[in-house]
Amino acid sequence: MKKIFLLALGTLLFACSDNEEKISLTHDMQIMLDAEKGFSKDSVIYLADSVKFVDKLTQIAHFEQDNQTGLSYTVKAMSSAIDIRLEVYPNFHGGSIFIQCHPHQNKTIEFDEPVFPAKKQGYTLQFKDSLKIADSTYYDILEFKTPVDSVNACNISAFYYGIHDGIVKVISKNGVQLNRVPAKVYEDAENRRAKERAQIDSIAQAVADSIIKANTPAAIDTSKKDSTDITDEINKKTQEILDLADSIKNCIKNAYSSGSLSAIKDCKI
Amino acid sequence: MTKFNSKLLTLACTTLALLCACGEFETQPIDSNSQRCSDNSKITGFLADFGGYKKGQSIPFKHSDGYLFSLMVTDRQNYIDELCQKHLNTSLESPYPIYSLLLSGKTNTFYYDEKDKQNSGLIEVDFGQYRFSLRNPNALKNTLIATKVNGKDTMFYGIDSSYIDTIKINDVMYTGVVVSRGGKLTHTSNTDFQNSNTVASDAKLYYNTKKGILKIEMEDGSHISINEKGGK
Repeated sequence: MKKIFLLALGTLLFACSDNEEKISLTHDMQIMLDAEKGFSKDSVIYLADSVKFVDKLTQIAHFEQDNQTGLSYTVKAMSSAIDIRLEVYPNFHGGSIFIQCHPHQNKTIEFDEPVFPAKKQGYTLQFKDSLKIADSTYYDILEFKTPVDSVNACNISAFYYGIHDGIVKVISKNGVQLNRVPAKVYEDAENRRAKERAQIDSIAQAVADSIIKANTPAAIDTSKKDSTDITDEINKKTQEILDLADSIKNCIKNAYSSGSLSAIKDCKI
Repeated sequence: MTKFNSKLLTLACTTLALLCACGEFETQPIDSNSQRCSDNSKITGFLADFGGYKKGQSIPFKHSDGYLFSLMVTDRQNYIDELCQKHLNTSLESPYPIYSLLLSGKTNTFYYDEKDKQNSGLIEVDFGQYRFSLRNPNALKNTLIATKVNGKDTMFYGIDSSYIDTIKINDVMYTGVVVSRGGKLTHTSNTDFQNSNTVASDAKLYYNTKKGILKIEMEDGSHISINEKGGK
């Protein structure tokens, strides 16, 4: 009886012991980790649509080594809600890829032991040799697409992750493509806006100058006043005109910045 | 002896069966703070009134580069946390431009007096990498500090908000307006943006209680603004 008990104990303890299997990755996932060399780990990138919209994004990548091999990648846009997390980790079953794709929802899409093309609840991962965007070609691209006809946990419909470059393309839910662009596109947009503001400032200043010029105090009847009174009166009139010009200048600038150019007519010019 | 052995075996097997669950044992919570808090998570006042947002509502907006788009109220939830604070979270989203605003309202359950109640509500707005803190305009109005900026009287409250009273946006005049200066999320080389701190930025958010978010100015010189008349 004791022997049976000890045998049962041994069997049960073995069943409960740590698994001695080795952690591993599928070949397709290993390619993503091998891309560490040359990847700019902590960098600023830019995405733009075909019209005017352009945004700055910060991307952070950690390729972990030694005890824990894996990749943790995050990209977050400055003002838009492009916020993607991609994690690649080995495990006892060939590894997993985890994706989050909404800034304010923590739902994670997990692809177990992915061999591309991989599918999970309508989400797909596919590997492409290259992707051409304008004059640039990006190599080794992971394409992630969201379900069309069921619940989508993402606020985008697709993204393209270059294993050497990070995010190179995002497609919005209504099909607008945002492509990787050089920093110059973003800087040009900033300069254009600054130029527009400078132009309206210049117009407002010109209007203010005209008001001052046109309203210089007219000759004051000096026959019945002493020189102090005359000086005070001129100073008072001058100040009133300067205040009026300043007020109209600010009114024009505010009308522009509030998007109500028609409000300029209310500036009492 | 045999009887003793069989009892021992039963006991050992039961113990081993439990051990072989190989999981962590979970105990029932000893005490729940919620029992001591109000069981009514409903929020009233500034946080509830802010914007009058209702799930499914669509609010027309305009981008300074010419895009007309709508922010949809996609979620609105309230709850009480373990510290007895009431929360009201509201999500506003647009498919393109891809925008998502999370408005996290938070207030205490207990107040010393009405003034304390008025001052306690705070809404944090997360918009891309920007974060804004919005306070009750009425509370700000009553605790104004007049300061001269460029020769003009400007009313400040603390360091991040100023009460500007009125502003005209896309041909509509809004009153009781406050401007909140935003922070920008930071990260270190070893961390990402989760739970990160903020540094000062030039971004500004204009708001009032009735209409909520009126305008957001970003550091790159662009802005989005409420466009109630729908004009281009």
